[in-house]
Amino acid sequence: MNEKVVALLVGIGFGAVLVAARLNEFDTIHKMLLLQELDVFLLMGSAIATAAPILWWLRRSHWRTPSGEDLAVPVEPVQRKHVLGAVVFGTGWALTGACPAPALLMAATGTIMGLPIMTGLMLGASLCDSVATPADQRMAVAAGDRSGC
Amino acid sequence: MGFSTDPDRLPWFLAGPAIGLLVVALYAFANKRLGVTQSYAQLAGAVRGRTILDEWRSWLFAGVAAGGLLASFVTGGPRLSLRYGALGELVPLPVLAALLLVGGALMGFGARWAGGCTSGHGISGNSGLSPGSFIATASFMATAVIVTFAIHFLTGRAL
Repeated sequence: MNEKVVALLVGIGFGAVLVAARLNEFDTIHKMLLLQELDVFLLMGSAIATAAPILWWLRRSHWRTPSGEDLAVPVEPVQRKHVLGAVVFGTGWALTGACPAPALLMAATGTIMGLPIMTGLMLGASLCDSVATPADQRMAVAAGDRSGC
Repeated sequence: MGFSTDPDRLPWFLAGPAIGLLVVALYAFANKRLGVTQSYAQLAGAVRGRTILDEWRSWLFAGVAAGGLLASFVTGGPRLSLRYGALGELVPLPVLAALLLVGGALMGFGARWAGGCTSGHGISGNSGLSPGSFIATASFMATAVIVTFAIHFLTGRAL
């Protein structure tokens, strides 16, 4: 299986689970961030608690991907961008009650207001790319994430 | 603090581990970090006639949309609607659309700056035990909770 097929199948699973858990609804994320419903925090925590030990074991046992590579799990040292970018992101997350995958899932399940969020995401992401300096981009590529700014 | 009382909602203790396994699968079989934001950047680039560098991201993006659509059939299929939860009941439609556009732009800019969003850092990056992801997640969680409480009190607890 090539990486496109894997990405498609993983995407189908991810989208289906998020919709089944109602992450495509404003009220779900808003009640999470108001600390009224802890479900989404526990969802994220249990996802990490499931994936982290398996990834650790795969790396330890030198798992080879189908194309014969070592696992490339990015481990980034803490940088300023992790705080500054995340503060901007968190503000948008609170305003919209949606994050990038849920915005797409809103649109996919008929909530028309997912479309302005998706448009904003495209504009914001491109703006970040266009203000990035070549040095930023080199560093980001070296860190393996092609982060824009 | 409490829990959702929606009986039709897939409980977190099934949804979370399922997502964890999907993160592992994408690493193990394609060597990629599960993250959605860069698909938007790539899509925006494609609109402006740029070449798509990571084709797998477009396939992931299409998969997420298709999976969501499929899951919606459990509860009667997709329903075209202009509703937007409690926020939609509070503000008129044009204001809502503008607010969502601005919020989306903040997310797009911030996620690219930070090098990941709730999926890229919050789930996948943390699963890889990346210190940068820990700090990014703590920062966006804290910010989002503070801004949400600010909205709550500024709207007289309507939101």
